[in-house]
Amino acid sequence: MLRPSFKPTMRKLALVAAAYRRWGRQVMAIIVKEWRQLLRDRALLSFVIFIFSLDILLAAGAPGFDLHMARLGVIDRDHSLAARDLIYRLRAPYFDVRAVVDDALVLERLLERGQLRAVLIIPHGFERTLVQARQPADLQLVIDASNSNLAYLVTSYSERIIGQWTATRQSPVAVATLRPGGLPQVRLQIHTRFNADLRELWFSTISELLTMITVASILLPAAALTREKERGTIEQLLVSPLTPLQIVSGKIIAMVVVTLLGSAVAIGVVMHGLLDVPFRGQVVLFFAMVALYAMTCAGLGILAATFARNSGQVGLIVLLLVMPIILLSGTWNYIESMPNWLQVLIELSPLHHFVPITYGILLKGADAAAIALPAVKMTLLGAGFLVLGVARFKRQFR
Amino acid sequence: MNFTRLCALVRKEMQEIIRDRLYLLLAFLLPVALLVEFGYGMTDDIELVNLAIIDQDHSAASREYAQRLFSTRHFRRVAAPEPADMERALSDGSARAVLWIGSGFERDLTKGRTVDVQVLIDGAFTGAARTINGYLEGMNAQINMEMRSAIQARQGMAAPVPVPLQAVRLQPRFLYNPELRSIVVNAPSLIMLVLMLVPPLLIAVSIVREKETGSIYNIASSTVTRLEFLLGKLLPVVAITMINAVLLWLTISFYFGVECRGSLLQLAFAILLYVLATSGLGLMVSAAVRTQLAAIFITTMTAIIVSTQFSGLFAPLDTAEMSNQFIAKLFPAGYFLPMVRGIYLKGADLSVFWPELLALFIYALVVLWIAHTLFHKRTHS
Repeated sequence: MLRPSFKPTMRKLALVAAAYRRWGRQVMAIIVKEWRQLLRDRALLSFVIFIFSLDILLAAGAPGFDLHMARLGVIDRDHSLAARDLIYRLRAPYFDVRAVVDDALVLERLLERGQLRAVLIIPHGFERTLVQARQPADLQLVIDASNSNLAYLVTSYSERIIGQWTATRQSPVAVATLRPGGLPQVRLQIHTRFNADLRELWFSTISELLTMITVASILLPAAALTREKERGTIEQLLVSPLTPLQIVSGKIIAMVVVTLLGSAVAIGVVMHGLLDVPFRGQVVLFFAMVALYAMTCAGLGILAATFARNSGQVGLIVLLLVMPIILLSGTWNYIESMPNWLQVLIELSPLHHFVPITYGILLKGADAAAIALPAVKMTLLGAGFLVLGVARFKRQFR
Repeated sequence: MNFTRLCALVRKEMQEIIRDRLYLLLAFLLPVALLVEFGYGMTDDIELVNLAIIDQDHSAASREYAQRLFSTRHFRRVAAPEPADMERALSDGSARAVLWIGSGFERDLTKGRTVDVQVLIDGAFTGAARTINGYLEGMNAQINMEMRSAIQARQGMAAPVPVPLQAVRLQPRFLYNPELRSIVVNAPSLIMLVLMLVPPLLIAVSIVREKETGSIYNIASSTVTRLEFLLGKLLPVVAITMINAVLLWLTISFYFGVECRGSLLQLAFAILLYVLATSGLGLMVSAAVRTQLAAIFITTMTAIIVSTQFSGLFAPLDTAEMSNQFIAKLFPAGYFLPMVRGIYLKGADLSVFWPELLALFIYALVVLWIAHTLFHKRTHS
């Protein structure tokens, strides 16, 4: 027995390696097929290009959360110097002040149509009360609260402006009675980090990109797989030497590459190049995370497709999944303020984990350690979707 | 147009829909499911937002100050980071804001001085940052007021004239939603959102499926006109959606308890025009493209982009750039939102919104006309 024992192992290894290479080549064939199909569908291709370029550019001009030229009607029943001075303070860029007729019906109509956001009423005797300084001079602010964020902004901005105005014309009586040191107060020195000037377009373009990546990487693989089922071409694929896992991986990888290319254009050219949105973290880390996220979403898409028999169904199923994912994952809402059952459910949303990763790397310059927890959760979620999806897919075609 | 033929087409479409059980189920389940999820999830009220406080004063005054901030449900206290790590707490997302009370807080307050408290807010989410900023300032002003009036009450006897702490008092009155409940604000927006998303998708594959499977040739060889064919696709979806609108209204008014203040009939009329416009949009896409994949993708994306960016859902449209305001005019959601808010919340009369109604009506006609132009019974391939 002098035959060297390493030879068979080497041969075995070579065989295994060859098997893997073949496996890879077969998956590659599927990937190329998917890309060809995408390239040939002109309408689809143009729209995929649109969502990663022009749409992100448009998001830069989206309506903002700041108070900007809110139409404020003013009724001045005092006709005093003080009233005019105050009205002058409520000005651009926050308010667009308009004198309105003192007529309840006209006001109601203007508020109903949304032509006025709020009405400030300066009552008769405002200046006199202010000068006497025995009691607070009252002002009434009637606010359209059918948009609560705006109502809130209108109230807090007008309170702040009025506060500053009173401070500048502190009545002499009041000043006299105060002790030299004055009354104590706590003053908040508020600074905003990561987006110091609160530039809306940083937020709006990033959130739009997240929406586009999410919908595209769930919908495209789901619809592509359903199409094969509907037309029966999946049977052809299954009688080929390909395993269901290979078919699914091919479809997923093809779409992940499309998503990566798209987000590279969106971030590199549109956001960083044209709009000066910062990119503070590591580039490689970010795109690795995008790939992971796209894979997780694609896994969800494949799982969704196993429930659908035709394209009409898959569209509705995806919509049912995608809308809560987009709107409830923390870009537009406060996760911590949602009811508990919804907070548990939203853990199943891949975007919920990807939001801190994206904003972390792009705006906060987060490193791998800072995003480790959401990244691990997202990976587990993606693995879960894939295992379930492939298992269901296999069972359907056995 | 021949009504017998149209009826036959509508009946055929209805039968196809009814036989596709899953599609039928989803068509009725989807709108209400979306409504309930958003109704619970999309809250503007900030509740239990993570706030960290670094207290280096360790005094009764600083503890009381912190206590006051957490006495409302707006903030939830999270473990305070080391002062050097303030930024870290924000960047890993464990807190949305960090408050730093330096030493000497109590000493300076008792001496009647102004004490500065440093606050860092996570600005990555601009909207949240603004709201948190506003809440903190508001609560701080409240705490100051109480503190000063307590001190004044102690000295009050000595002062010759009682001086109001506030020279001017602003009395806000919130119309249409006095309790500022999120669901009240969201209810009409959700009608806009759901009816922008669902009808186009219900109709998106209808024409293109016939093109892909080749059943369009049956139509090509029949006497059915193009208009009859398109209406045959449109009417069943409009009918389904109107039933859905009733379900939405029932859910909003009985489950969420937000009742319509305007006339229901007027609301139904406005919704009908809106649904004609949105499903017409889906019909147009279906007539234009050649594959179901493209139809679904383009419709879903358009519906999502329009309903989130060009409708005024999150912030009013008039704060957008001019280019975006112009694009918003090309889609129905921006016309419908002020109208549904007006009728539902403000109890406005529909006549107030005649320009919007007219716009929606013209819109529906235009998309139908475009679909008619783009659609050919014989596909070239």
